[in-house]
Amino acid sequence: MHIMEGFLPVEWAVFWSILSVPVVVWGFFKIRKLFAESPEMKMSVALAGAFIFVLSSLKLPSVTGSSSHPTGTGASTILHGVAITSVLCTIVLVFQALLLAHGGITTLGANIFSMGIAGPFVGWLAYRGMMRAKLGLVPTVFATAFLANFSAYIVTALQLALAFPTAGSVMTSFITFFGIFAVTQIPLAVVEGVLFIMFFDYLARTRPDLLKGKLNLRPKDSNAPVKAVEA
Amino acid sequence: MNTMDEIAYSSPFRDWSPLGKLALTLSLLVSSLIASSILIPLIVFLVGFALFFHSTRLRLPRVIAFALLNALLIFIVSALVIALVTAGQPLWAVDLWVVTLHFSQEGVQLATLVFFRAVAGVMVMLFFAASTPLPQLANALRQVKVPKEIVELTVLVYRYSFLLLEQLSTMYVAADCRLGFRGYRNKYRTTSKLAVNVFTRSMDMAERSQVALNARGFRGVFHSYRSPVRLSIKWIVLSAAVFFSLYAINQLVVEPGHVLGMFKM
Repeated sequence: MHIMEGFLPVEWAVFWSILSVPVVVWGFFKIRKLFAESPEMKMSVALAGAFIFVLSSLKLPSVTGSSSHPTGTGASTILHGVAITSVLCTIVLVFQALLLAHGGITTLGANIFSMGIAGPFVGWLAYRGMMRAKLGLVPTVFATAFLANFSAYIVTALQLALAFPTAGSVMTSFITFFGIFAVTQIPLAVVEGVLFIMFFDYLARTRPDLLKGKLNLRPKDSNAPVKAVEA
Repeated sequence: MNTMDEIAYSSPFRDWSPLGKLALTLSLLVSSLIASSILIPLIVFLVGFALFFHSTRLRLPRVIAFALLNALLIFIVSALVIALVTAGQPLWAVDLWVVTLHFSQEGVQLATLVFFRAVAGVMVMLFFAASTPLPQLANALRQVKVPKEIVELTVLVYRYSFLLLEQLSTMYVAADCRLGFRGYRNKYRTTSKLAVNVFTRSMDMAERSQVALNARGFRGVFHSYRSPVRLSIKWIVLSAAVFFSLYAINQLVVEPGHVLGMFKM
């Protein structure tokens, strides 16, 4: 869920941009170091960004009858970490705002903070916790993807509540925004979690080399024969 | 998206300075954002529409038209929520059996203002996107010292998005022909497989591109020999003039007495 162009007052647009800049700059330095050490990673990182953008064009049915799309930040967090995900999200959000009228330029800072920083960070905490607890692929991927999506939505509801409090009460406003958008966003977060379980399960069986050291893969996850490579 | 790229490349404004157009776009967006009168978003919308019309003759790709309709729906729902959460003088009460929704006068005014700001903002952004090819903008960002890694990454993400979208479209049709989207369960299963296949193909493509680049003597930097038109002082003056004019109009509408008082002897 992105905040659309024109929805945030100037002071809040500036505030969220100021909060986002340090993380994106940190991500930029990580990318610069990565490119300096291994220039061949340039293509992989660029294609990961293109993948996030393309993923957002995959429509999924939602409970309200409309369709929605996965964000891909949970998957990107598992594969690349929070800092690089924040830079990729920044680029993807600019493309979405300009090419699909989804999001905005003045709300870019707020959207980067919710989708590119807060969501991936919470997803990363869940991912690290699950990895330490040596839990399997299914709970780890579900928790990471679900929490990355869901926390991005909570932060977005908070951003809107801070900008439009009800008679001075941010909490009342937050509950209203949270309640109304929960109808589509909670099922979407569950769907994204399920989608990425299938994604990583299939990836573990077809290209286990790409997940080396990323998830607690059991032998059966990576050695099972693939029935068919479809479509 | 492909057609949006084609529209941008065939726009009569293509050769204008990308950073100049960005400065003008930002000044229009910020003017609309700080205005407390609905007149300013309306003016910004009209300016954006005129520029967009001249740039594209309203040739709008179907995918963008659908995206705009989707955006309009989100604007309406979000504006309704803003009208609902803003306290003030009661205006309407809508009884929905389970719950009664109360709309205040201040809430409706704020929601209307935000709605028009959003519509005006999208129109201005559309003008910018339909007249500025993104690789041109990314290269122009080098002029304001944006690091080359970010510029290159932006251009690469953009280029590869088209390639992946093309592959995704082919796979989607193939899966659809095999009834891969029949029923909810199949839909999710096929979607996850499409995502994995796009991802693994993107990795293969990255490896192949790297080999091709190495074969051509790639040293880690993409050089660009056709720099876009630089940002000139006239663009900065124009953007500032637009911003201050809209600000003055807003003040004149909201506080006419205060503005007129400034000119009294």
